[in-house]
Amino acid sequence: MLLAASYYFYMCWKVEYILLIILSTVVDYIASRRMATLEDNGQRKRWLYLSLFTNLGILFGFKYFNFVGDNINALFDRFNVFYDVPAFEYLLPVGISFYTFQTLSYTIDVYQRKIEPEKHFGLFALYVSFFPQLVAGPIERPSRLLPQFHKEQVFSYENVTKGLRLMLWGFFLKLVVADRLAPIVDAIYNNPEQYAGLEVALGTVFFCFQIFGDFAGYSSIAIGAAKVMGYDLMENFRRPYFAASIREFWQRWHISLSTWFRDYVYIPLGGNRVVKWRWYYNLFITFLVSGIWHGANWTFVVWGALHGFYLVFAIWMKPYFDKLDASTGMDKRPGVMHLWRVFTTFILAAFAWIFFRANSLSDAFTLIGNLFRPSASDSGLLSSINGVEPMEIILGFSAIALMEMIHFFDETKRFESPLFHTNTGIRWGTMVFLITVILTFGVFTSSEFIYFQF
Amino acid sequence: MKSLTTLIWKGILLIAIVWVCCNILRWSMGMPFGWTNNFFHAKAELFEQAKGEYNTVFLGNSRFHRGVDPSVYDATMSRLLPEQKTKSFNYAVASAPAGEVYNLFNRLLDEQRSLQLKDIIIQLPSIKTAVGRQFQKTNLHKPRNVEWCDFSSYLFAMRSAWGLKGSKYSFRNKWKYSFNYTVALIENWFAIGMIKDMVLNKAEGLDLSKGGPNQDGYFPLALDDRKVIKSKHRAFLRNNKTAAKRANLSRRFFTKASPEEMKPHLNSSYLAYLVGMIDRAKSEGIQLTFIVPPCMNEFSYNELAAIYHALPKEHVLELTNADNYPFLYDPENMWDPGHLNTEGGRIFSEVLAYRIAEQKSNKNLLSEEKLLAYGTPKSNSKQKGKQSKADTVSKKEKKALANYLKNARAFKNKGNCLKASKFAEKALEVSPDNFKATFLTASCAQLMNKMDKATEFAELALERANTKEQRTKADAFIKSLN
Repeated sequence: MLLAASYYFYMCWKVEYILLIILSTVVDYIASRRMATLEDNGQRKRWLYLSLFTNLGILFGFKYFNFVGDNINALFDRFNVFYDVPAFEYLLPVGISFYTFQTLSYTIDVYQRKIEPEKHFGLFALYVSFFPQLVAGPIERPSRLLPQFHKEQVFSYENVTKGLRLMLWGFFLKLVVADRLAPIVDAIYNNPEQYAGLEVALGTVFFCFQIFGDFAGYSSIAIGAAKVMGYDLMENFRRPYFAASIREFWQRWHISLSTWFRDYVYIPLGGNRVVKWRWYYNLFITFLVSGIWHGANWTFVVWGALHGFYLVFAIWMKPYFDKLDASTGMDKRPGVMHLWRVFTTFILAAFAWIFFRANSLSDAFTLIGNLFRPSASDSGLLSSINGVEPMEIILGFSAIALMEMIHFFDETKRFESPLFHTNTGIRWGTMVFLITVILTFGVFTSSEFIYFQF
Repeated sequence: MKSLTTLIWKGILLIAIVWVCCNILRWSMGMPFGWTNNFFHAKAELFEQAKGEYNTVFLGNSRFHRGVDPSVYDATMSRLLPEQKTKSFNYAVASAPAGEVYNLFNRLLDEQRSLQLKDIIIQLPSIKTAVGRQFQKTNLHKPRNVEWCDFSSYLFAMRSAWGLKGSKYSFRNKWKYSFNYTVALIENWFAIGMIKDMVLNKAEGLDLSKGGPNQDGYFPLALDDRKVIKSKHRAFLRNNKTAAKRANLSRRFFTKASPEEMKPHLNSSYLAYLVGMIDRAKSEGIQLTFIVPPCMNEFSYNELAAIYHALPKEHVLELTNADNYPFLYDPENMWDPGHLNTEGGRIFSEVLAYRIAEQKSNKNLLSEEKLLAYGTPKSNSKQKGKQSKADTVSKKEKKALANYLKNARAFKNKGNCLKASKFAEKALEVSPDNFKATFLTASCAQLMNKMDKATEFAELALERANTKEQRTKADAFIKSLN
C-alpha cells in the first residue's frame, strides 16, 4: 500500500516519469541479486557497472545533457565550427538526483558486501520510492531504512504526535520563513544591475535563511510524515548557521548528502589517509562533484568549488590561525572566539550562496561587484526594493528572529526545545502559537520547494 | 499506551484554540469588509464616513464600477422625481463574483437600521464569474476571495454553481468549484494567510482617491493609469468590431430569443436566492432592482437572460438590448469591448435613472425621441480616421506581435508548450484582442493539461473570431474540451 501511495505521489506530478523510477528499481534489484550470488569479482563488477551506467545515464540524460551540449556548442562557436549539439526539450524529473543517489548507495553497499540484497521486490521498490523523502530527501541508506520496512507497524501515539510536531515545524520554516523571504530575494537577484551595497547584502542574508527554511522545512515535513507512519528517517539539518567552521557547517547542512559524498566519493578517493596534496585534492573534488550534483549550471560548480577551497584553505592555514589566536590572546576567550567563528562562517557561507542563487555567473559577479558599492537609492534600505513593501522586510526579519530564537534554545540546550517540552503548557502554547502564525502569517500562494529541482 | 481517541480529542481541542486565536487576531486588526482591494477599501471607508447620508447604493462588478456615475444619477432623479431626492453611492467593484455581491448585500441589510437605505440597485451578477478561472486559479487562496466566503455566502455560491446549466459546466468542473469554495470557507474561518496582508495593507495606508473624483465610488476607466487598462483601450481603438458583435449578441438573447427558449438555461437555485434577496430587502423597506448591463459575452447572456425573464418584472431591468439602447454599443461611448467610457457612463447612468424613475412613478418618462437623442453607432467609415491613427502608432507593435506569434507557433510545433504559451501571452499583451494569440494560448493550455485556462481562452477566442473559419475553429475546440 505504501508503494502504491509512493508511486501515486510521484505520478501526480508527471505520470510517465514513474517509468524512470521503475527502470532504476528493476535494474538495481536484479544487479544486486546477481552480485550477491556471484563469487567472481570481475562478474560482480560488471553488474555494478550496469547499475551505475543505468542510474547515472538517466541522471546525465535528463539533467546534464543540455548543459554539456550548450557548452560544447559555445566552444564550437568560439573556434568557428558550425555544428550544433541538439538540445532536448523536456522537464527535469523531480527529485531525480535524490532517488538516484539513494539507489546507488544500495548497489554499492551490496557490491562491497556491507549489506545483504533485499529479496522482497516490493520492499526494495518502496526503499527507492518511499514518498516522504522521494523528491527531496533525506537520502536514506539501505542499512537504516530497509530493516524498518520489514517490521510490522502499529499505531503509536508518541510517534504520531512527534511526527506531527516535526511537520508543524517544517511548515513554519517553509510557509512563514522561506516563502516570506522569497519575493524579496527574487526582486534583488532577478535584477542584479539595479541593486548595490546593503540591498545586495540584505538579499543574500535573506537567501541564506530562505534556502534553509525551504530545504530544512521540507526535510522536517518528510521526517515527520515518516515518523507518523512509524519510520525513522535521518536528521538532515542541525542548525547550520550556528556552525563555527565550514567543516562544521557541512556536518550540519544537508547531512544525508554530505555523508553520502563522504562515504561514496571522498573515502574511495583516499580520504585523508594520503599525502597532503592528495588530501586537498580529494576534498576539493568531492565538493566540486557536490556542486555539480546540485544543478547543471556553472553557478553550482563555482559554489561547490568555493566550499572545497574554503575547506582546503582552512586546513592549510590552521597552524597560522592558531598562532595568531595565541599571540592576540583570543584563545583565552573561547566565548568571543566562538562567536567570531560563527560569524565568519556565516559570512563565508553567505558569500558562496550568491553563486548558488544567481541566475548566471555574470549575474553573480555583478552582484558581488555591487555588494561593495553604495546603493543608488536614497529612500533607505526598507523602501529601496521595487515591488516590496517595507513591512514585508520587517516581517521577514521577524520570521528569521523567531526561527533563530527557537534554534538558540535547541543549540544551547539550556532549555528544552519548546515544541517537545515536557511541560504540557509550554508544549501546547508553542504549538498553538506556531499554528496560528502559520495560518495567519504564512504565504499560501507560493511556488514549490527549491530542492525539488535537484 | 494512549489511544487514537485521545489523539482525536486533543486534535479537536487544538483546532478550537487555534480558531479562537486566529479570530481574535483578525478582530484586533479592525479591517472593514473590502480591505482586500484598494478600490473596495476606499469605498468602504468613504461609505462608513458618510453613514446614513446615502439612500441608494449600486452593487456589482466593473461594469457598474466604471459605468454608473452617482452624481449623474442623482441629478437626473431629482429632475424626474423632485419629491424623491436620492443620494447614491457606487459600491460596485471590479471582478466581484456573485458571492461577494451577495455578502455585501447582506452586510448592508444587517446595518439597515443605521443606514436607512431606500434603493439597492444590483448589476445582475453572473455565476460564471465565480466559477471561472479567476476563482479557480488566479484568486484561489487570495484574501479577496476568502473574505466573502463566510458560511451563508458559501452556501449561496455552492448552490448557485451546482444549478448552472449547460455542457460547459460538467459534473467534474462543479466538483472542482465545490472543493475550491470549501477551501475558501476554511480559510475564511481561520483567517488563513490574511493577517499578514492586513498588516501590509495597514502599513501601506489607505488611498481614498480610489473612491473616485467625487468620492462617491465612481471611478471612470479614463482616470485609471494602469498599463493593462490603457492597452485594452488601445486595442479597442485599433479594432472595435467586438462592439458590433456584442450588440448582436444582446439582440440574439433579448429580441430574438423568447422567454420560453431561454427556460432550459434557467439556474433555479440561483433564482431562488435572488428572490430571497428581494424579499429580505422588502422586509427592510428597501426596493431592490437587478439590472442586466450592456456588453456582456455569450456565456453570461446565456445565464442571465433566463434569470431576467424569470425574475418579477418590478425588480429587474435590462439595459443591454442593442435594439433599445444602440448608443451603449457605440464605440464612441466605449472604453473596451466590455466597458463604457466616461461619456458612455454618463449616458448609462442617466438612462438607468430614467428607468428607475419610471418604475417608481409608473409613468413613461424616457421617450423614443429622448432615446434617439443619445445617438446610434456610427458606421465603420466614420471611425476609420481614428483607427488609422491608432494603426500608424502601432507599427512597431505589429512587428512584435508577428514575431511573438511566430515564436509561439515554432515552440508549439517543437512540443515546448511552456515557452509557446509564454510567447502567445506576450502577443496578447501587445494585442489583447488578437484571435490567433488567444487561440494559441488556449491550445497550449490544453496541451499542458490546464483545462480551466484552456476553456477561458477558448471562449475568448470564440468572441474574438473575425471570420467564419475562426469561429468554427474556436467552436470545435470548445466542444473538444467539453
